[in-house]
Amino acid sequence: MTEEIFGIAKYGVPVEETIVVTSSGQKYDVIQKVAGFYRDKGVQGRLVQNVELILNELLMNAIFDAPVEADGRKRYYHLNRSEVFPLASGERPEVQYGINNDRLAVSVSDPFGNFRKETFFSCISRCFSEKSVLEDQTKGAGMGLFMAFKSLNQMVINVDYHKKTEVIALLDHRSSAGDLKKRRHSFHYFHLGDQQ
Amino acid sequence: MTAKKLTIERKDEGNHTVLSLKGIIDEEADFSEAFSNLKPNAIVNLEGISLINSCGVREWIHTVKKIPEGVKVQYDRCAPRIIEQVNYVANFLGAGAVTSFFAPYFCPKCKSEANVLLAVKDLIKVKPVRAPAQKCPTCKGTMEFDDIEEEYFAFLDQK
Repeated sequence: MTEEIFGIAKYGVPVEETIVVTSSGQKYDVIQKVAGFYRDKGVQGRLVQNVELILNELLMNAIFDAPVEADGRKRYYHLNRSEVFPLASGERPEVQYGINNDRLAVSVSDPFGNFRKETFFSCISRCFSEKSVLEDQTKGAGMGLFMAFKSLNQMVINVDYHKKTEVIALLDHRSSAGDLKKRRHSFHYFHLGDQQ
Repeated sequence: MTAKKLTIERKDEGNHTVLSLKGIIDEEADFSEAFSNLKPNAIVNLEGISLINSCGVREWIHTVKKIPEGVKVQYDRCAPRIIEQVNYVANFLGAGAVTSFFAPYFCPKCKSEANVLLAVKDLIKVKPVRAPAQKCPTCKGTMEFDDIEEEYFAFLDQK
């Protein structure tokens, strides 16, 4: 697969803005801005709350879980998620958001490209089957991904190995949040490059 | 976004402690002071919770786990975001029980949204639990329950 896989525009949703996150403490500023945009567009309040939750979880993953050292060690995974620190140019996540007549899309990408398809399936299956037993003291044990997944219609994960991961959340805003829940949630994984 | 940060108001009276939580339960949530030395009856009002993220769930679970056995905990006026977690996460309530909660409704006619307060003791009289009919406060039409009944009311099946 050599074609371009990244971006919400590929799903027919024009990009309203791309925000570069330069500090771990910027999470709620980004969420507030994006949520405000959707409220102004008349999106149902509960769907906007879904977007807030999705961004909350995806940004934490991109800031604390994605960055790795050259030897593969996670750079910030050990830190408390409330810790505020600046992000260097090579580790800054990007947030894209937009809306069209049918659906809205938000994405969070990181410049590391380490997300594995197996990670997604192990998180989701554990949360569905074990009702999210939180065995880990510092992190959410994959629960964040599960909570995000339950809040959207379609999740697309694009990975260019060791270069970029992008998680796109697509939500149909013509229906209510309850209708969204009643529909099936789908997951799509596309990748470029070699996983090794 | 400091306005939504978690605030906890505590009132102690006789054998009762009343805790009212408002805002976001996330990685910064600190329950230690508010949940310490509870009276034998604790009422936890969760109406004001607008969002709970995965870190917040973890903090919450650790907190309710530590509540001593002798304390009877009632969760009152639980927001929809809390009920979702009650259904998703094992032991979210610890040894406590929900007494009342908000259920989301949506009006297909005028697109209004409303959270309607429901009492557990009334709902569990008829099984399976179903969302009661509601009139739209805006257009007086019939509102629809805006979730999946089997999922949203699942925690009541254990009653």
